[in-house]
Amino acid sequence: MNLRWIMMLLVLGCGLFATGCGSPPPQFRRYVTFIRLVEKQAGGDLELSDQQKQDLDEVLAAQFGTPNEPLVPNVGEVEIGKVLNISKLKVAAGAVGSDANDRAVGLYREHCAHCHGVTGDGLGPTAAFLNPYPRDYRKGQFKFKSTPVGSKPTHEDLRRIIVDGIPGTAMPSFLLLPENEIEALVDYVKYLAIRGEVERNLLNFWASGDFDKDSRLITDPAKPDPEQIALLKGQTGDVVTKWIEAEASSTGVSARPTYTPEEFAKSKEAGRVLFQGTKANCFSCHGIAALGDGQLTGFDEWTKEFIAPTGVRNPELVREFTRLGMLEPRNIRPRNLRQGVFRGGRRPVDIFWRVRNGIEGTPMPGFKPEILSDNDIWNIVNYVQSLPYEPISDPRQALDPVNVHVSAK
Amino acid sequence: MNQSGPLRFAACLVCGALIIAGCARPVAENPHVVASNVVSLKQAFGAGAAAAGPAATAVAAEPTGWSTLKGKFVLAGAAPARSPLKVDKDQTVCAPGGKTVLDEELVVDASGGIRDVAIFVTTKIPANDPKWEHPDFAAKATAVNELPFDQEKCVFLSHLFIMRSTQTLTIKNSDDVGHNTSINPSAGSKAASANILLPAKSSSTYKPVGESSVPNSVSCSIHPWMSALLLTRNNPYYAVSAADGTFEIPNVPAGVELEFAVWQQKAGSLTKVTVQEGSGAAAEQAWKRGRFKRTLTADQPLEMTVTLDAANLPK
Repeated sequence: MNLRWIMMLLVLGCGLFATGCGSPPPQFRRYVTFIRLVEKQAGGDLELSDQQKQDLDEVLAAQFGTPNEPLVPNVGEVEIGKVLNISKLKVAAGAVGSDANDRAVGLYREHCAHCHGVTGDGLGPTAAFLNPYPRDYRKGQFKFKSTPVGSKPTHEDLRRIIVDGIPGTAMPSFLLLPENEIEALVDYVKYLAIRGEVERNLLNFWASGDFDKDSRLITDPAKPDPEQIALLKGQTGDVVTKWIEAEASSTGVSARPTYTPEEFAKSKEAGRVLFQGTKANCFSCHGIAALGDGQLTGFDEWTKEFIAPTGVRNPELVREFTRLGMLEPRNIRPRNLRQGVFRGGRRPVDIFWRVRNGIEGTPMPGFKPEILSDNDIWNIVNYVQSLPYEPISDPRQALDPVNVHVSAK
Repeated sequence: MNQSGPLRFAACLVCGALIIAGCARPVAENPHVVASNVVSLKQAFGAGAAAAGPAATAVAAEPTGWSTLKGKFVLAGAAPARSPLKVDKDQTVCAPGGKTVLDEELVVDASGGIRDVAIFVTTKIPANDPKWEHPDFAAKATAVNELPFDQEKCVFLSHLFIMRSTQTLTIKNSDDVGHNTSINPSAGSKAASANILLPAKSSSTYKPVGESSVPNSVSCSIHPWMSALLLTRNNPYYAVSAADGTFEIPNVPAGVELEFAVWQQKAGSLTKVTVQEGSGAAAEQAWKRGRFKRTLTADQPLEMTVTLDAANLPK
């Protein structure tokens, strides 16, 4: 009996010993693909040394902390409190669990990190299996927002994505989370986006030729030079400023006109003419029948900057960057508007914003008011919203053999 | 019973060792970071911007007048063949009569002159200072650029366009089909991104706002083979070489050392070149990161011929 006990203990001990318990805290990953891009662009023999990369890691860690202990960077006069709130970040960061008051913490890792990655690089464990791939926040660009191309999204824009999800993609709706948890996640996404963009901007010192292969972000990290610190702080401040400015850059939308049925039919027809004409040119990508078949070889900016700088896929670059962890690039498809699935939301105002502002980081351009008036855009919105309800948009009509059989009778 | 004595002892040992060692895996710190450095950096960042003060920008020398830098970029050896672009849309407008459209990465004329080489001053020039900025430039600092950025037959008429970041660019579409002009800042650029639709025969405007040291890509998503480059500079001292490879930067501050950068799309930053200046002999020069320094003498134009060996072009 004793022997059995001992054997059991031994097996248990060995098992524990072999597997261990607990795991090291996750760390932010380096932006290796962008480092390579910068090295290539700087040309010559530039290859960032381990020391230079370590400087970068340390500068970022000092300003932004770690995935378990996030920090809100100090950017002097820039009012970063308008963008990031440390108590919200702390609810979203860290390991999944609950605090002393039984409130959930580690929300980002619970709900987001498996796709978007701990670093917000869109390279979570499930990312490769999704189509479209999850967003990489580090470029600081987001598609579905109320602000023009070149501006950040507003807080409300990001919140709407988290609450509504993105139809037609793997991004679910988090409507059922309590309000404070959604708010915490919005701040955490902004935090990761700002951190990633700062990382890019610091690497850009080499890309723009201002730094050479011997330059360091911080010459002596143990005794930092105040001038260098001020320069680095300025970089972070610039990114944060853009986020603050975005809050006031939402594009205004005129009220949708009220129509009589005849007026509505006319508006739809005017929208169709614009859609298929050379003024709005919607057809050139979305196809004359709006099936999304007009332009199938494009790339979005997250992909294009690495593997198709001239617009054409370069297989050599694809090999080089996928080896560094980039997911196999896919072409961006113009939306098939007959399916009635609108990723940025299906409210009229959402479609209005998509047309007026364009979609950041994609081939979809925006239309300035001197090119399309508000009324023109409402006509297009009315046409686009009617497309899924046209009889030919019903896939059963074309595909279901039963229907073919019935109509043949 | 007696036999199990040593076994029991061994088990106790194992359990004891486990208890002492604990079962958590050793917690790995970020291998790239030295903790003490992060602590000292945190302190430095937390100290506020007070220590920053204006960096020692006091430029010792002041310009003594104006001069001109001009010259020519030449390719020695056979230029690589330009490849035809795939024009698969709107052929009647973009490739009338089945015309082939060639890429413009490196365009060399019969005399070896290289078109579309950018040469620009990278030294920080004090803004709005009449000693540093010739009145001709100051007058147009925030103007709408006179030259439109035009496109015809689905080709951007200026493959490389340089403008001041404070100016406004007019983008024009002279075609009977719609275009969209998508401007995407390259790495290291502070220029604004934009993606503007241009109906047939129309024009629009773009404000770059920020400076760039590497040209930004300009493309049209409707006609994916179309591509051009746009460089935005805070100072007015820049030029693009013409079809015969010649360039001229007028009214450059003289008497101060200025750093110039030279860039070409195919070659990138020009690093290994042969330079012949004034009446001097040609000499091989290595330009680190495509940059060189010169001090110009007032009212004495400096003329230079820069020769690039075709063998040094990237494949």
